[in-house]
Amino acid sequence: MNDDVGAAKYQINRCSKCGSCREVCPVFSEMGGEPWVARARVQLANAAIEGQLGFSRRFKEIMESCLLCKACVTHCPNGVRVDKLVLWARQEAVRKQGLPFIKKSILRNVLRYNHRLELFARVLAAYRATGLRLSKREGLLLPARTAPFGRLAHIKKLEKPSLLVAYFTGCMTRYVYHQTGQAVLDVLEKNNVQVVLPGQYCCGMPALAAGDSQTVRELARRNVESIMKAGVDYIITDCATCGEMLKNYGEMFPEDTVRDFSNRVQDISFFLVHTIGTLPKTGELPLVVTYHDPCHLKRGQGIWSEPRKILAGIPGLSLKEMAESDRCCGSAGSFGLTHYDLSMKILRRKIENIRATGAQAVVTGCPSCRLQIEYGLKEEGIFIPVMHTVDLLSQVYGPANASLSLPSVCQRQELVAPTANN
Amino acid sequence: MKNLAKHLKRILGKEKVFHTPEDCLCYSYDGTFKTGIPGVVVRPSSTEEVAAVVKLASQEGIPVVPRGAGTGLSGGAVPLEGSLVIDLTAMNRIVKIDPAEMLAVVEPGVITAHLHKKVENMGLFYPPDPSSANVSTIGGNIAECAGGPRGLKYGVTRDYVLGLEVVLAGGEVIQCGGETIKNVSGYDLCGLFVGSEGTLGIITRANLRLLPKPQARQTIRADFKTIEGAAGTITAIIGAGVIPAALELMDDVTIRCVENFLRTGLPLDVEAILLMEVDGPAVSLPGQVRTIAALCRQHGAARVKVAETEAEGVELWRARKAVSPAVVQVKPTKISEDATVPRKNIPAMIRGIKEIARKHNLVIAIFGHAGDGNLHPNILVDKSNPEEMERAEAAIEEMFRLALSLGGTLSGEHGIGLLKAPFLEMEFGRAGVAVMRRIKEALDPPGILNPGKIFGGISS
Repeated sequence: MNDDVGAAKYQINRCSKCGSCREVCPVFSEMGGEPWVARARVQLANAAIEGQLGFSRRFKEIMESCLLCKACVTHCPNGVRVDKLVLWARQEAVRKQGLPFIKKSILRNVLRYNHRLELFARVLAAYRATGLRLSKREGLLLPARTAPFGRLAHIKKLEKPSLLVAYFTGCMTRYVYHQTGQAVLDVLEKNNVQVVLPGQYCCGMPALAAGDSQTVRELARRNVESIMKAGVDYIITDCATCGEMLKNYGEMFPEDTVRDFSNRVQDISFFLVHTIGTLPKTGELPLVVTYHDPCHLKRGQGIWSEPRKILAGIPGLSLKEMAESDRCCGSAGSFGLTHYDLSMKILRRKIENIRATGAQAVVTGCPSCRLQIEYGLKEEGIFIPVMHTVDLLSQVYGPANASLSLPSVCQRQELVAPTANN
Repeated sequence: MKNLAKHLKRILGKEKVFHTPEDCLCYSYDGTFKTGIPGVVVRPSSTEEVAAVVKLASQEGIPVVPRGAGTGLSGGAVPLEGSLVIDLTAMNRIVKIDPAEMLAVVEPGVITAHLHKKVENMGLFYPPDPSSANVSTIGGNIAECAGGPRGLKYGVTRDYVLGLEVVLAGGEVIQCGGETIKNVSGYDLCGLFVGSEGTLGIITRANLRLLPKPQARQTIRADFKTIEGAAGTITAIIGAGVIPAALELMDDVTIRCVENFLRTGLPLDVEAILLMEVDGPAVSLPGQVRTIAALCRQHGAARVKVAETEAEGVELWRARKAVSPAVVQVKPTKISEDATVPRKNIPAMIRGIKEIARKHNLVIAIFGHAGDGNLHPNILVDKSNPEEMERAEAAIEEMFRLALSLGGTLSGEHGIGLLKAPFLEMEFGRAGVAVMRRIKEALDPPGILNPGKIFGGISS
């Protein structure tokens, strides 16, 4: 994993301190001071390795304020993996000082156990049903469902499937965006791909981001064991974050089975475009949409042309690109809760870029981004839906000549105003 | 230091003063490999605040280091240990852009590229374009007198500064120059502060001259079997009365690095590639391009490519823009020098640098703004290898001597800072440097402004 000081030193040595990261770091552009930019985090990591600085409160504050969006990594002329250095620093801090109580309770006692996660989701759902709002941050809490997707989903047994895939639903689809889960199943079925839903756990990204390598290892082990037993050709996910994390298992735990597992992981959009090729569409969607590139999809997995190809293949649909489509929305997992004000500032820029396109809907490939953008649009009084690429695609596989309107493709209809904002 | 921080907080408010070891470490560097950890950092948001901070520093005898984006390449913003860093990036307002007067009034923290974009949207043009323009600040550009590829045709930062507001060592605020192109009242203090590297005062506002934005531009690339052929072409083009807006050279080492990195089909059997851009009224371009292409062929160019569309132009420039990421694939650390010679001596300079590289067993990629003689020999090393760094330092000194012997200067656009301070006397002699010192002493009697820069003498 990242606990290799040598690997960290290699990255640090490559930083020429040119300052190019000042141009692209979303956190820095809101904070303004040098400590908040990638270059500074590299130097801080170096100081920690050299024993010049300890893992103080300020040190952790600076390291924890990174979105891990990798904008700096892609932009860096030397390709310094700042994200890995930040993760290394967080992990070292945990190794030396342990996890804070709340984080520890969630990561070690909830995240690792599906039934506890489910209970957690239920409590959330029940709390939201009461209509109570104790804090403005709650808008970012999951609009959780009471039952996980896997239990409700009905998967048809295909006669002669072309491929067998495991669907890794991810916590967001499992507990929040059931319709996206259904869309994935529909699209795969139409393409004659047999889906199975083997037992699965959180991908481990929240633990990785918190520096809890012990939980990461445990979750990776359980996922690999359970899913590899199913003997599938591919492992498909609709979540950019889960996808990146599952693909990284192989590098983090270099054993043959784990590598084999990681090599089989494909994002749904990649799978549809490259592995099976999508079917001819029968429906039409006369919509103007804009697309938000999730960090974990574009920079994390190099997937940005695939969703656009899918969108371009939808009859009647037109894509109006927003400015800075690949700039982080500020969600970054629990970052929105732990750094609410900063996350909202970063989100505001995203929302402005969306507003400027005049699009009727926002499409993206990550449920976390979706939740964040939905929240931002609502706060700004912009009533347009946010959808997963697959949500749209599944609509045009429907009965021939079915022409669909905006509300019918919008999962959370309460977000659509009577007159669609243009 | 705690006491000083307390005073500063009283003046600025606690949200603008930083003194934890972590914050100070983040202000200990710039774009060079030098470091020095300051004692306290402030981020003022007005001239009054800067003046108050400097006044306090002068009373307490605390050295002050002004700082923009920290992208400098001579160590100009590397703090003296325990000093007070003034981060000016919070003063980032474009105060006004006046198209009638062709004038921009800006605060020092404005990012160069933001100014470019803003004025170009209004049909105006601010030519200085250091390669760090996307992050560098106008204040830093003025303090180091930044240049860039457009220097040949449009000059450097100095040529666009009409007026400055400067905070002096005692905290007094003065105005120099003004808003007009012509202004000969008294000494040219404006000229004195441009390129003064924060050693004479702190720039808190600048009046910048703007030009009309050129209507069109076109790019030409020519490949040469010999450096002499490329250099002959450069002088011939300028002799023919055509001044390209950019005239960039890449040597064989650079070409190989870029081709390895990009695989875009650059020729590997040539000694130099020239990338040229002409600009101006659209009707003037075909004539300029024809002249340049003909002269390239006359001087033995193996190939001449003229971009017919904007996309083709971008493609030709892609190789030049990729130089920085390409060369660090060889070794992680690049030491970018900017010794500059009269353009007729470019072949001698390049041959000499290659000899130095051989002698010290170093990889040196040479590229840069050949049109104005401002080459960037980049020594590719690994800073974690002390023995290699030693050889690099020896090579740098020899390159300086070579440039001076060819009628050139130590620095075309990066400044003297810390890195070149030991060599300044080589260029101007003891008497020349003594005059500069007297100016410094007159303006900064306590010696608190960016000590050690330009003159050296203080190890950081």
